[in-house]
Amino acid sequence: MSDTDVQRRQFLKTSVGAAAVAIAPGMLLFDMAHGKSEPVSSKVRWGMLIDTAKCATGCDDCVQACNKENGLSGGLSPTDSQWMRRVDLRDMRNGRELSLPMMCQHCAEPPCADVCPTGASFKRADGIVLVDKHICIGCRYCMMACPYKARSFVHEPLHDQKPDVPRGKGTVESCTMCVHRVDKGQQPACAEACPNKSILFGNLNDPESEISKKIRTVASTQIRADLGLNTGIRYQGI
Amino acid sequence: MSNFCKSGCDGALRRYAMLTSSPTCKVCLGRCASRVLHWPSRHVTAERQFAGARAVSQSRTRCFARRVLATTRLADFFRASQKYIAAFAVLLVLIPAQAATESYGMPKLDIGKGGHCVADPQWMRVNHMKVLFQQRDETVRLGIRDGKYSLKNCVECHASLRDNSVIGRADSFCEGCHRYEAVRIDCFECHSSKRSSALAQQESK
Repeated sequence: MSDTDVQRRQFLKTSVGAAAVAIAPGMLLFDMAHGKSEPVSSKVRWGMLIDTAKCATGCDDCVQACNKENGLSGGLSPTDSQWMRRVDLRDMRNGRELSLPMMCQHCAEPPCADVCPTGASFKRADGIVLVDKHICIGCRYCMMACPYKARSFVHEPLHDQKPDVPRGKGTVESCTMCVHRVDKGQQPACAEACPNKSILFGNLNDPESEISKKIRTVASTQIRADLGLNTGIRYQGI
Repeated sequence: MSNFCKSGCDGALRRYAMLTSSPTCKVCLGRCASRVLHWPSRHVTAERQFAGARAVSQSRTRCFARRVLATTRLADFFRASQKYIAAFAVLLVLIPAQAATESYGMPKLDIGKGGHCVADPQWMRVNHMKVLFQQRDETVRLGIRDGKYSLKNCVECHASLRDNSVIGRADSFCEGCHRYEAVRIDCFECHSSKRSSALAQQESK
């Protein structure tokens, strides 16, 4: 083989390698940025398990993260939206104290969707309960139907909303389980922000997922389980 | 738009229709075949509407030719030189045929980065609201987030490079046309009108 041939081979090898290195991260980024092209399916049911024993009293990192992610004011004015709140509980008989985050429980049988006159409140196939604000007329029936007081009404005109979280006056809104992040394969902002990892996010329908394994082994509670709503948010240690 | 001849005639006739404040053109008396196509039904599909818009621009030129021929009747001696008149008419026909789709007094827009659009620009002018509605429902209800007609993508490419927005000025990409057509645009009461990459940069500062 002549010297030129060897050089040519070497050149081709290096250029193919360089091209692969240059293109691969771009392809990855493209996939990540564009999300899924398939509709969500009921093979997945997103849920959370919140370990109240790990939830530190006085900490509201999850609430702050929620406000930041979704562009909420955090209660500057009395009518501002609240998607997530910290609840402090105290047992009057023995003085036991407990904190936990409270938000939309993403019920399997959501009463908000039942009462919605326009079909704006709905449950996505993967169990996330949402408001289609294009259809919402702001009647607030869903706010009355929700046993968890999870929903807020937008009273005032809003400005500078997040590109991923459109919000507007005259519609009802609530925790979306950070659906824009979940669709990109990320965790909800609150689960990511918790310093004690007390919020475990995952697929309740997959028996091999971390959350399903934990729910099989520890005692977990649904709040107002008596209503038979089969909530997606479960609590541990209450 | 009210001073347009509904039969699809040209500018001079528009003025005439305006003067007489008549909804139809006095010269072609609404005989122009394009009348049906000019105001397409709400229910025809997007593709057929686009085809209709093309047909209108063609028949508009036909109507124009008819008018030119009609004016020649005023002077009989022109009949002798009909060949030349026909050639002149052909010239007249060719000029507005080219201009009819692109520069019919349309507003000048600041198209931002621009580049290759997801579809033919003329088709998008007619149909962007339909494809946006379709994709909006697929995204909200089904979680499909990689469709090509995404409002966020529109804003990402077409927000002005000056203020990173598609609304707010007379030449803004969305607002420019919507002001001209007097159609209220309420997407941006909820959705961000700013380029998201610019917002991310602002936040990281």
